[in-house]
Amino acid sequence: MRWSEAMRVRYERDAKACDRIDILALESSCDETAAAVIRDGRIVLSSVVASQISSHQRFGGVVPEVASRAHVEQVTVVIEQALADAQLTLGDVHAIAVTRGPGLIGALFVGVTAAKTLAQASGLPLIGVHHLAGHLYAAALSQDAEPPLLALVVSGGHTELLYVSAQGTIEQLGKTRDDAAGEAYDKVARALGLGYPGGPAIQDAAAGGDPAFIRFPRALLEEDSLDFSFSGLKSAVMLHLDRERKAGRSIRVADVAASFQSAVTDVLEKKALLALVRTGQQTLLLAGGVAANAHLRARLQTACDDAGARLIVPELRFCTDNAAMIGAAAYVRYKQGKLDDLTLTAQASLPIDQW
Amino acid sequence: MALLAIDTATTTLSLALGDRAGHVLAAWTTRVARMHATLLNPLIDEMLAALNMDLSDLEGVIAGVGPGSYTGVRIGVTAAKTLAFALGIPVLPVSSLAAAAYSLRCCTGLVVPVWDARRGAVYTAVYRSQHGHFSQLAADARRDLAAFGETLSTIADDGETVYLLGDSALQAQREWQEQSGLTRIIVYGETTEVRAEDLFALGCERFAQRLPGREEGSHGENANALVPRYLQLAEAEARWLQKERGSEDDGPERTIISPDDRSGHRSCHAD
Ligand SMILES: [Zn+2]
Repeated sequence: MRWSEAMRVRYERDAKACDRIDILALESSCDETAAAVIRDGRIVLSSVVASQISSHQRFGGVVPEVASRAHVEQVTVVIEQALADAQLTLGDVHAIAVTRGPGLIGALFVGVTAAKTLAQASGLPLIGVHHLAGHLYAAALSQDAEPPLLALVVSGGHTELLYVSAQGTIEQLGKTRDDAAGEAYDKVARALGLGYPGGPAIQDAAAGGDPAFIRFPRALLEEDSLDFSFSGLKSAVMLHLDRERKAGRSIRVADVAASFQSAVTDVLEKKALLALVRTGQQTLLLAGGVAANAHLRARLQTACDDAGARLIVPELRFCTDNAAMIGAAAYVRYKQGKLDDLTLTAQASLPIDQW
Repeated sequence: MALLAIDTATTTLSLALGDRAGHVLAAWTTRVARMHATLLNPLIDEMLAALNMDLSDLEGVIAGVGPGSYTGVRIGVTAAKTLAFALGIPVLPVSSLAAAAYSLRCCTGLVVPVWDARRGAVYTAVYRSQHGHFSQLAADARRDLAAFGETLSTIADDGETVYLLGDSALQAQREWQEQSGLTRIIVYGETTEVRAEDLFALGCERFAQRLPGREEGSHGENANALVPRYLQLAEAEARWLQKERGSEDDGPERTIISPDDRSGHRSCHAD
């Protein structure tokens, strides 16, 4: 039987008759090769992440070709592990999901090709997922956060403000015009000799520092804009380091890190609050790898408390890139019958409203 | 029962399906640019349907593992290893370069694929095709195009014909015909392409010897370990290594030879 018929038969039977739906999901958009099995979009039966951090550390950032090579090495290993941890076989799950974009194109191709092949070999439905939608639905895994809500997604690849409607449609309210916040963290960490990834490194260094040591610029752009810009801030830090080194002064790493972090947090907090007011939403979801930053979480918590809004932060292991969140988002599409076919392909850039 | 051969390392997306005895049942090759990832799985589906077969009829996968386009070769290799994993069947790596050369197995002489590997280098290997014997004389490697002419002239017998194929074939002919000993250089093909039926021919004999039947623990054999043979480090990695080793090593780019490629070609020796 052709795959299209086989999976159709399977879908129609399962969607009607099964009291629970298990989705095997893959994620390979950046430097984590991940697989997970998610039940009903909420229960994590397994979540395996093969991190490449150690292989990118020496470069101070993710090298796309190095990442893609590692994905090929890891892809079936993480799938095997995710199924084993969930104590299921490929024949037991009900659908295959995968991140189809946005991300590093060569890296995405590995996950998408593996997912298509899994679906084809097992006669299962295939669901392509937008990476950011994954970050948003990560909230469903550890908190009962139902849309509508406002989401701030901050990672090495993204800085975005998104509105998720009750129907599950996603609208982009603002995004970075240059560097992502996480990218700025990485670059500043490298300049300060703090290593990679920059988020935790700067957080640790900043712990003993004075956030008011230098007032770095806060780019708020036009008054009503919900967009972000971090390249000016990054340049200001570089300029400061240059000046100090030329003057023969030693760098006050802790103070610079704290001042930088405080500038990033100020901007993120201001824009998130503005978006809450503008959309009249009561719930703010913080997602993405930078959600691991304790300073940012604390500041947003205070801000939300003051504004009478609820702050939701998914468990940290679901904030950084993982496949569980892809499985959670895929469940929404599964229920809506929005399935993909074997021509599904990876896309480096992919607007969120088309997710 | 059948074997499926897949190659996406070059401009071609090529599939072949054949039986254990070495008969090709279907072989399709497309040359649609930047569509390998989109088309590979649908074409496998189409081919099986045309043969009235099912993926469960497969007992092994033969994967073209490059060298070639990094992104391209990863698509075929990822599909091959995932298929092997999902179906619980073994997968066999075969050099894409060897498959290209093997298409000239009816010629008599040296067969030398020369595929552009940028910065004056080519992916190349040397084979001899003679009276039904097809043997490898130089392993797959990334080599300096200009310099390799001299090496080749020491490999070639007096007056032996050298067949070149690949997108650097014309340039290689120009550069190498000055070498003494290389009197007959023929450009056989100017494109870099692989036909999966040649990949299948190289792989199936070796495969048949190893296939014990699915009960005997061939579950997903090699699937996790299968990776492309890029024959070249990622650029950032090469630079990093060079820095680590210090400046005395700043010579020409490293040549990476894949030694296990040789064993892969034993089946094409008739002796
Ligand atoms: Zn992410």
